[in-house]
Amino acid sequence: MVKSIWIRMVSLLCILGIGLSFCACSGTRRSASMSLSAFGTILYFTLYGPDSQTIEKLGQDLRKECERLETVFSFELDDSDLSRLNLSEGPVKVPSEIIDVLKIALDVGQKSGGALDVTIGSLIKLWHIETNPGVVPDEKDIQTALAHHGMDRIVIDEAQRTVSRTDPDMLIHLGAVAKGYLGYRLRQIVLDHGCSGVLNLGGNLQLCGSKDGADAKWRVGIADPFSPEDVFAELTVGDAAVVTSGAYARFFELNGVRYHHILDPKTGYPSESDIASATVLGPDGAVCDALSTACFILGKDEAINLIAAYPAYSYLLILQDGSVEATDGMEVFIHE
Amino acid sequence: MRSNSRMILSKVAALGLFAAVALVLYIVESLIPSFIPIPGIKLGLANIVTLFLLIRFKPWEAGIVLLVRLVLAAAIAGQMISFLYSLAGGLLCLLSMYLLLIFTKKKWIPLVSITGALFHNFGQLCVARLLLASEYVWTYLPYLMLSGAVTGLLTGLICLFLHKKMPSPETIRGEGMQDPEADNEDAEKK
Amino acid sequence: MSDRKKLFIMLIPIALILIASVLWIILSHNGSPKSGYRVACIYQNGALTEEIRMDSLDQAIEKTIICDQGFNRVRIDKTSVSVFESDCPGKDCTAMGTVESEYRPISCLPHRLVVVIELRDSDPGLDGVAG
Repeated sequence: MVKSIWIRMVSLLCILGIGLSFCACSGTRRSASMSLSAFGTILYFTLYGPDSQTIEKLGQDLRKECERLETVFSFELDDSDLSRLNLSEGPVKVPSEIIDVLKIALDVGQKSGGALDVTIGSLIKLWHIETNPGVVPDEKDIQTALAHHGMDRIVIDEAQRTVSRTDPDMLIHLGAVAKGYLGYRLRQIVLDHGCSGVLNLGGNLQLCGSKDGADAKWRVGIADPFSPEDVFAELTVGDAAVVTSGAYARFFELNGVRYHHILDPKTGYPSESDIASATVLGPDGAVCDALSTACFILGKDEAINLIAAYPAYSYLLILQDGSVEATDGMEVFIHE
Repeated sequence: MRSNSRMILSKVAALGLFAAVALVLYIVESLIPSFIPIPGIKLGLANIVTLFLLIRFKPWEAGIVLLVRLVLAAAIAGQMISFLYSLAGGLLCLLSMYLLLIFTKKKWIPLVSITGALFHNFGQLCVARLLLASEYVWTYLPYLMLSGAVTGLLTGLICLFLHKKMPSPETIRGEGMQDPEADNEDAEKK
Repeated sequence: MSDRKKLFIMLIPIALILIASVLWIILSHNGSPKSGYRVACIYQNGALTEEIRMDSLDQAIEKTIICDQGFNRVRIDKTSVSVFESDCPGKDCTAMGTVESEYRPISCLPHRLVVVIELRDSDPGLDGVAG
């Protein structure tokens, strides 16, 4: 009697084992994951391709591009192209990437009434959010830094591929746009290799191609701003970038007040609005990145107006009271 | 009265002897390097004594010897933590073996011993869970169950052997030195 | 109650426990997850005090964890965790060596420390999370 129980258990185990191994070899597409550290955060890529060699080559090319763009856009590195620009006077020859990003930033900056401002580099430095958070700068220093910003102080000469800053104390910081642009570039590389995938760039998602090579869409989650380990809502998205701006990613607390990393160019302090997290989806990651930052600073009504000026882009705003505002017709599935 | 105190004395001597044996077994097994470096895996050799006492003596006598052994072992090792650990394990082991011995009428000693060892390890794991306040300790459970079964079988077989081969029960119980007069006194009291 | 019955009553639970233990051990050594990533987690007094994503580590990192009762030195690299030094009395933690599988904790009882590799899943089915 005891023996037959034993036999039954063993056969159940065998069936389970066989079943599990079948699951493992489904599908003809290969996939791989990789991660690397760049742009002050960790990037995770999930790549799908026809075979392992292609994916491996793709991985290497992606890594190279990340490293390359970091030498272009890094604010902290003294020998990056951006720093070269920030430390020099007069017209500086810069890679086309910087010009592309500046044009997007200026466009969004203008349409958002200055909410997005990539010229607040000295203000950002003052707050040290990325390097040494914990200190609230003096009001005096903030005002001094604010005196030296303004997108009208950037002059771009596209023919010569130069950019000049008319105010030597104004520093350009592209943190609000660079990761989105990175996604935009990496996506092209993924598609050029005949692959598809999901690129997670420190919270910015760049979807490349379609899932499974067919027309299948991706299922994407939006982090819950009130409990960032959880997913607030799910979207079905095609080949697009999904960028979320929120106060919960980088911040410090002092005397019970939370200071986050998205500074309002008008006040010089971390922005305050009725939005807890702003997500923008669309074809160009850099534009999404710029728009989501601007929306987060602007607040609900102005954010909706801003997005209206970009018809190819959609938004999903999670407000401080927990309610949601989204572009009409967006397929959103809100958890709970 | 004299016979009573003699009985008590010889009982104390016997129990003391067992406690010493248990202690020595415990010390010896802690010197053996653990093949599986998971906290708590001990051969449980000292439980041979506990089981033996449960079979041949009264349960509370087994309990006293257990406690004495635990306290002395903790004093020697110099750690309160291992005392708590072994206390929980030892008590659960004692209790489960006692009940099982009643249930089986002192037959199938190896099975009783295996059960005791399983409870012993489970008890230790519970204390570890409380101390570490982490659910992770339960991942040790299957390993401890299997090792408990093996050591339990071993100690059970040894105990069985001892029980069968050891000299007459009366001598071991310390009642061999009964004073004939005591019997008459008891008879008169009834 | 007959003797045979009693024997079975005793034998069956023990046998079940042992079989379950064997299965548990076998199953827990199987299958790396397809989605999800591994994090090295450090629990002190039961609370998660630190979480380090392992696949992002190109080089091993070493951490010294200090508690009231003493210290432990932990090494974490891309594939494994280990406690390589400690001033605790039993040294069960250092004896454990290097652990590569998930949910096999290294614990230092006197220091109330648990170091373990855990799995974090992006919601199975979700391709990514923005935020």
